[in-house]
Amino acid sequence: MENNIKSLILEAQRGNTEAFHELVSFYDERVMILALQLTRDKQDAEDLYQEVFMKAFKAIESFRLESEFFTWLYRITVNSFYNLQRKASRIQQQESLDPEKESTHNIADETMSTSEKSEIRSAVSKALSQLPTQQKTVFVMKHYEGMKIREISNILDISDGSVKRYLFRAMEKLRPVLKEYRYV
Amino acid sequence: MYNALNDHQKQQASLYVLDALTENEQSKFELELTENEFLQNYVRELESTLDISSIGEMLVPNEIELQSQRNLLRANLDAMALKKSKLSPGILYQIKIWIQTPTPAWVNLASVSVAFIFGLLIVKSHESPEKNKPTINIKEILKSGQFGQIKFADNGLHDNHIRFAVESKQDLELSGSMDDELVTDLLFYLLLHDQNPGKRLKAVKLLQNTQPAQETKMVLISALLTDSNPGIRLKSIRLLSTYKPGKIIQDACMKVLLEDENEAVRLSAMDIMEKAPTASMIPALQVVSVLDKNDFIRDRAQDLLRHFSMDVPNPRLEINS
Repeated sequence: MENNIKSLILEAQRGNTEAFHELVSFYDERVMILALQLTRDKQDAEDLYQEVFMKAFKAIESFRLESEFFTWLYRITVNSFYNLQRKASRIQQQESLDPEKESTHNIADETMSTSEKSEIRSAVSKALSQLPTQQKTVFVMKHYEGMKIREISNILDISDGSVKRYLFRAMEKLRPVLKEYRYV
Repeated sequence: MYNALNDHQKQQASLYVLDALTENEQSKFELELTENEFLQNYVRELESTLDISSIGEMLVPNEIELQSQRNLLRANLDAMALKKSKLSPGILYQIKIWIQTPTPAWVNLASVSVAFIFGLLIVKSHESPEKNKPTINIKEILKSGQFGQIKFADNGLHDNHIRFAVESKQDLELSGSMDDELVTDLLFYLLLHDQNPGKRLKAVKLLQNTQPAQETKMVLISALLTDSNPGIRLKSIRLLSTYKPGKIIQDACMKVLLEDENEAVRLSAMDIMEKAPTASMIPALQVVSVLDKNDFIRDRAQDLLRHFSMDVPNPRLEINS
């Protein structure tokens, strides 16, 4: 770990909020990208961002310097995402939401140049949202974040074999759903 | 079409396109791939699935969006710190019992009270002002005691002038430069007496544009010790930190360090005390080094205590007189 980061962590652990904010500015872009990938919704990603760093601030005293700070933040992000998903699924059960509603989440960026791209993006988001949470998380971490199996298993606290199984199942589900867009 | 492939082959194919196989597994799989046409088709389909899903990748957030999230986070953490920082009454009681100041407590209390009363007197002195600059109407309003009707005009500060709007029969506007005595006195009044915390905060913020003066210092100490709003206390103490840390400021800082519920205010008090440590601070620092809820404040109190033990064998002697 870089000395600068290490000293910021130590300062933050002593209650120096400015040091913590400096740490945030080092890592928050990556956290936000992961949050966007996981939630596929800008508002949800922003909520997740706030929750992650609030939790990190509360728990920073427990962080041990021998591990990577970003791995720790990643773990908080993923766990917070799981919690959000659980809450969302409870609300969905209670309110019997229209299943089509998910597809109305506006994740397509307005700057997309073609309607085809927009359509594909929408289809991918829908396909990802239909994956079970863990499969989706592992897929996002591997495919979009380019993480290694060992890193993913370390963050999610599961075995390498489980990561591989989740990847395989995710691919098995995405393959037929996205098949029709192969020649677009 | 892919029934000829077993689950293991499919899994290896998925991991292969995702670049998640070990070197050995990859070599083995590639060997099999060259010989199995079904597997080749399957891999091609998986690769195109990944290509398609890459189009769905979210865009990177821009710096402005991130900055707004950072600002929101800062506000959330401040709000959280405010909730956490309240000292329990039991601890406060213990502090009062345990504190043993080398200076008698009544001396500290008296000096702080003098500061407070002095601050009030400054404001009361409007009753007989001999000022030429402001209009007679303002004076009349001041004399009649209708202070609650004074507001800041626009944003308060315009072209280095502080502007007030006075709601009265005439709906007056008053503007004056930073060194205008009436203007500073109005700011004093608003800071110490106005019911609206927004106006009090604006007043203390505007006071930082005025020249440091003994009167301003006394008013700031009064606000620091009496205002219910932590933002105003914080602004007051930060402004006080620009003054030479004399005994009255140090006494006020000790009181704040022991009693203020807001961590940021206590930290600012510690900043001032560190500038010119005196032995009279030792008992307060001993209490804070053990009892303060904030680790960082406790650590800093301990650091300051260590400074005394190194440099001052007799804690009753002041380092800086």
